[in-house]
Amino acid sequence: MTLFAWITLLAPLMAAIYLTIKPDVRRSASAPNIAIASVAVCAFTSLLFLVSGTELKSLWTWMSFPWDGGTLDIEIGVQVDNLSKLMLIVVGFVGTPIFFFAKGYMKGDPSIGRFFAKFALFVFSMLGIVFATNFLMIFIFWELVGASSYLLIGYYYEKPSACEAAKKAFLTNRVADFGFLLGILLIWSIAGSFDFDVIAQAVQDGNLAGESWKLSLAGVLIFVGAMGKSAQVPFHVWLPDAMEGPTPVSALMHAATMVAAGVYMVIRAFYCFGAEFGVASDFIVMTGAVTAVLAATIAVVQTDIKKVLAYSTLSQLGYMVMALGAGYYAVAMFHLTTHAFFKGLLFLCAGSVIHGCHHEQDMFKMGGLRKKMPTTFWCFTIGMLALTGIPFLSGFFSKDLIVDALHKRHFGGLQLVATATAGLTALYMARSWYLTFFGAYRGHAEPHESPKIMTRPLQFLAVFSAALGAIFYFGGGQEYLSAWQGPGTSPLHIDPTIAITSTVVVLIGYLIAWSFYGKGQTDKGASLAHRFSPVHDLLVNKYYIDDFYLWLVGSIQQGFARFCRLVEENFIVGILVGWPTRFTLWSGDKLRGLQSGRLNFYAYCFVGGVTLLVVFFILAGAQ
Amino acid sequence: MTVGHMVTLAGVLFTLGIMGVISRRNILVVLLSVELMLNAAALTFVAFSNWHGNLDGQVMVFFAIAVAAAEVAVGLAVVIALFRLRVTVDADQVSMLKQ
Amino acid sequence: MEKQVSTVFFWIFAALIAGSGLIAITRRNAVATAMWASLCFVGIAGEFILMHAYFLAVVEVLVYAGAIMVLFLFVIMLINLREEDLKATEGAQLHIAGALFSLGFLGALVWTVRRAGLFDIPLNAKYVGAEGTAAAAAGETAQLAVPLFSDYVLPFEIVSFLLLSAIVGSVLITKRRLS
Repeated sequence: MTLFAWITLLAPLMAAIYLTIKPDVRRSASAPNIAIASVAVCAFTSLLFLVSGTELKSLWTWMSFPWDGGTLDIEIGVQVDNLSKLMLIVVGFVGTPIFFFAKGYMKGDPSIGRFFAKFALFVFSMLGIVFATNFLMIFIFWELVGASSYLLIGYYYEKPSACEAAKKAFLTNRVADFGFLLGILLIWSIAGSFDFDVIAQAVQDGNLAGESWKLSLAGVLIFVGAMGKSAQVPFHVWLPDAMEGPTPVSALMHAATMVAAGVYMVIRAFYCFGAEFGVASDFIVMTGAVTAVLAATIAVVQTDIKKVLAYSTLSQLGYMVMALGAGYYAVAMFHLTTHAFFKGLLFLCAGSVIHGCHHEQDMFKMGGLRKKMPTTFWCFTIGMLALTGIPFLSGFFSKDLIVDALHKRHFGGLQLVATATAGLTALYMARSWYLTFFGAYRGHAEPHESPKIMTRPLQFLAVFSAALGAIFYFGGGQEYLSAWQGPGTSPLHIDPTIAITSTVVVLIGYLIAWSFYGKGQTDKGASLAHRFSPVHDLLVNKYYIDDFYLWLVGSIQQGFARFCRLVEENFIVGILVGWPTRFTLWSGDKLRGLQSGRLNFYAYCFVGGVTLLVVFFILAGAQ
Repeated sequence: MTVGHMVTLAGVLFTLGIMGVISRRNILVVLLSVELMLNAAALTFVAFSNWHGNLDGQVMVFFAIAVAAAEVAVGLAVVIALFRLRVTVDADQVSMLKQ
Repeated sequence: MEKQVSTVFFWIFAALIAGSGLIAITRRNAVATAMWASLCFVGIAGEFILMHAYFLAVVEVLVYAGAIMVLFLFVIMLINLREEDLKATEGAQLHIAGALFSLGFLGALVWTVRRAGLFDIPLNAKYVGAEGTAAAAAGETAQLAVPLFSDYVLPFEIVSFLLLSAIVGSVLITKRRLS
């Protein structure tokens, strides 16, 4: 089993390397198959681990430094436990259909090999996070995920906007990762180890009792790292822009797995902290709530089908973070799992629509696709219903448990916010649903259903999206993860009051969407936008957060940079470096005359020196 | 006569050698001046050998003469090679190493 | 009596050394320089004799005034400088500066010798003991051979190798073309 785990981790890397160094394979039609095979390994082993109930931990010491009497070992390892098994299933079973879909979607792309190499590299990095046994390893793969995300967002590198988006994603993540790194170092300084189990043991034994505020600070810092990858406010700005990448990338990374990595990592880390952690939970819950609402409201006015889904992802991540903050880690993980499936599905449907409409992404140039793309339509519908939490589809269970968790923790106001956001979710999803699939076609292309290789993954994911919530809930998923429950929590059960309330709110959301866009018409929505144009402007401009950052970078940071440049050019280059340079040049110029190459002159200097020395010693000895 | 006289005489000879090295450009004369300086040293050695009444200084002079012979042979060979190359024995003309 | 004689000879030889040396380094013609230098070496040999270094005196004359100077002359003749080549090779400034520096050096040297008290130590003090006693180890051939072939035998052999390599080296250097 250990071998299987290592193979699972390394297979995508091998695929990525193979696709990179073999140019003939890179251009051939078999390039996607290699990548698909490498990720299918993951799906297979995840199932194997689940069925066999494997628990294992295998370590390999990568580097070892002498440190403080002992050694500081940097270990790479694989750890298989219930949490990582579940995450493996997510990566394997969402990843594999998406890879198949990508094969169809990217067909005919001239650099398809490059795409799949990067895609496989991403899966490798993601699996590294899943398998990670210690903070350092998770950080390494965390950065690798960031790097492969950069590569994939900027896949269409000839498009300036894609390059900008890639840079934005990378830099935003870097800022957050700084917090993560600080958190890791802080933990290491108090616990003396990076290993999850060692830290957890130390917390359990009460060895760190005196360091509780440091532990809390480390928790917050690590959460800051998660805020970057999971795109929480204020680090959320990169995710909508990341939709510049190919749609399968958006589906796998920016909906299903990479953004979920933050949540997964926080569960891993906070499990270590155990009961010691708790002070920062208000901060985390608030972050999640703000993100959920902010993103949901922005999603309502988006015109790009992928942007809607991107903001929806932000909003759902906000839900997960709220659950984390409330201490219900298993619930967060539950929502992560269901969300991965239905959001992956929705993104693939969007990809299918975009593919069918010849790379048109504006919903206002779609419409009436229900007839032209029936499979996509039905899959999208299932995904939407699952996402909005229509009873007994997967979103229903996971989202209501989150609301319930907030209720249990007495976050009354936030419970309302979460419920209202569910209504908003229904509103924007139904809006895009109506705009895309109903009414008359408003574009100029010839929409057509996508080939089988793309629709099959949709159907596969649709089944899971519909059923996974029930399987998880009734199949004892929370008990399965009971080791990762937060302190003082127990498995939750659907509360009828909450369930009915949120269902009603969701239905209201649908109703509003139907009343505005029900026949695929757009004029009502436009007139409403006109009537409340200040609000509309605010939403369209994403609460001016991007503009604020632009101003921050453009004015403050650039101003500071200009000042630094001034100092550098005048003081450092001009004086600190310049004067010694000028002196050296000047003295060299003057002394150059001495190097005449004339033998006599050299002898002359030599004798002069000797004479001076003799005189010096005479004078010194004469005292 | 004293050892001091002899050493002073050696000093005079040495100084003459230095003057030759410093102020003459003819490489042959420079080489010859070096020989004068070597002899000044030899004179000093013998003077001190005389003072101490043992022969070590004289043995040293013997070796110095042998080494000087070798040096002259090689030095003159270099001069010949140089003259072939540059058709000069002027030390000032031989400043290629400056560059 | 003997002391006065040796004093006279000391001064004669000293004058010979200084005079011929001075003339040697100021001659424009290299052949003249070499000839005056040989005279200087003869003077040095004379001083050696005054200090009982008989063997060295002979070697001095043989090797320096004989072999080395002949080598010099040989090279000078081989190169056969023309008169106009030599004219441009001297500079008055250099002479004066060199002379000043050298005299400064000499002054420092004499001062040191004085301070070290060397003028109070008579020469040959170890060689004029009681009447009729044998002199201390003087530089006669047989006497010099003892340390040379006992304590100094290794340097002696090394010097022979040095000479050999110098011969080979100078042949190699002067060969017209190295291949």
